[in-house]
Amino acid sequence: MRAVLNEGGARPVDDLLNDFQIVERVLGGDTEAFNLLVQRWERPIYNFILRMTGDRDEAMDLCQDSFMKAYRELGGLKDKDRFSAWLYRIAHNTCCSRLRTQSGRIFVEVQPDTSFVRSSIETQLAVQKALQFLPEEQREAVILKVYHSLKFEEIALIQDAPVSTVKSRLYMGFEKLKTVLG
Amino acid sequence: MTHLGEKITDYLMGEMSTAERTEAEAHLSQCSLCAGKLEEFRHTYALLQTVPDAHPPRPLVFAPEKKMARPAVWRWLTPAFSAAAASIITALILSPSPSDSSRSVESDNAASSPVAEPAVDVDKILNDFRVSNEQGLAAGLDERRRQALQQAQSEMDYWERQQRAVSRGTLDTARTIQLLAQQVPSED
Repeated sequence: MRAVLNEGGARPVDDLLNDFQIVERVLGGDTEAFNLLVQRWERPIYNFILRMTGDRDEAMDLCQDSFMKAYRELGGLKDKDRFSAWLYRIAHNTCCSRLRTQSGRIFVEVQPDTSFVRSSIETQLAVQKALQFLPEEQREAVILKVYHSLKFEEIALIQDAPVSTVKSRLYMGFEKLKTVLG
Repeated sequence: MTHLGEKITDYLMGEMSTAERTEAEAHLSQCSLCAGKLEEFRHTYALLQTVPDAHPPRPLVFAPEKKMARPAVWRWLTPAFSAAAASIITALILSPSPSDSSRSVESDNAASSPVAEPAVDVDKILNDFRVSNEQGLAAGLDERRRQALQQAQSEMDYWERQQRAVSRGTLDTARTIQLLAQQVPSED
């Protein structure tokens, strides 16, 4: 992981500072401190977007866009305690905008071949493909719950939907994945 | 008996209150349908967990300017961008206009130093930038090409297997239809 570039040299992520404290520092003029938030949340946000889009290069671009937007709009963050949820919301909006421009893809459901023992790489590929088969909202609910361990209420805020809707999306997502993956 | 339905995922994800969980477990102990579905979802969950997090292909680093009255800017530090930043700094040093707030955000950080000595070998700097840029881009492209080929090969293998599965399924269906057709008595 590349260290922060500043005159003082490299500085690792400071685990003693929580998001709230770092946001306060950035808003107080220590713009360099934003790197602490980037280092802390870069990988989760990148992986969230990667699983949503299925494309590494696109995920990197959208990840950059998300952090740039977060930096520009940090002053508008009302609840500094909820930086991560707010950041996920930005990433969600960024993904939605991009995926909307790619609408019209045709999904072909193929019965998986279970007559052989999958190697781990094939299992991973199968899972990645299966996730792409899900409708966007269900995919997002599954990703945020399974890989990011967010609460239903947090996912509801990100998706701007009722908790009951999020639960339904997760359930339907699991039903489809169960069928595709076997 | 009211089945768990969508609450199965609530249970699986540990998002039930203690009372709800107790009630769910009582139902699961008596309902093979819900218990079976829970096991299937557990298996699906385990498969999802086999995909680990990936490392971003390049780190994001926010490098603000030195403390002057200028807005901080983003600089994505890949080898190509480092060389580009060097050439921009050089171009701005040689630029006749003083610091100006109408400059683009990307070049703002370049004007933080005072104007350097007038005698600069611009051609050499531009040539060095061009060479390093090409080398950086070529190295990056080779690696990306290699990764893309590897990924494409794995995906091709996967889809070939799926195609074979579909073909087998189609043949089985055709045989079944044939057998059924033979069993149907003639209406003559």
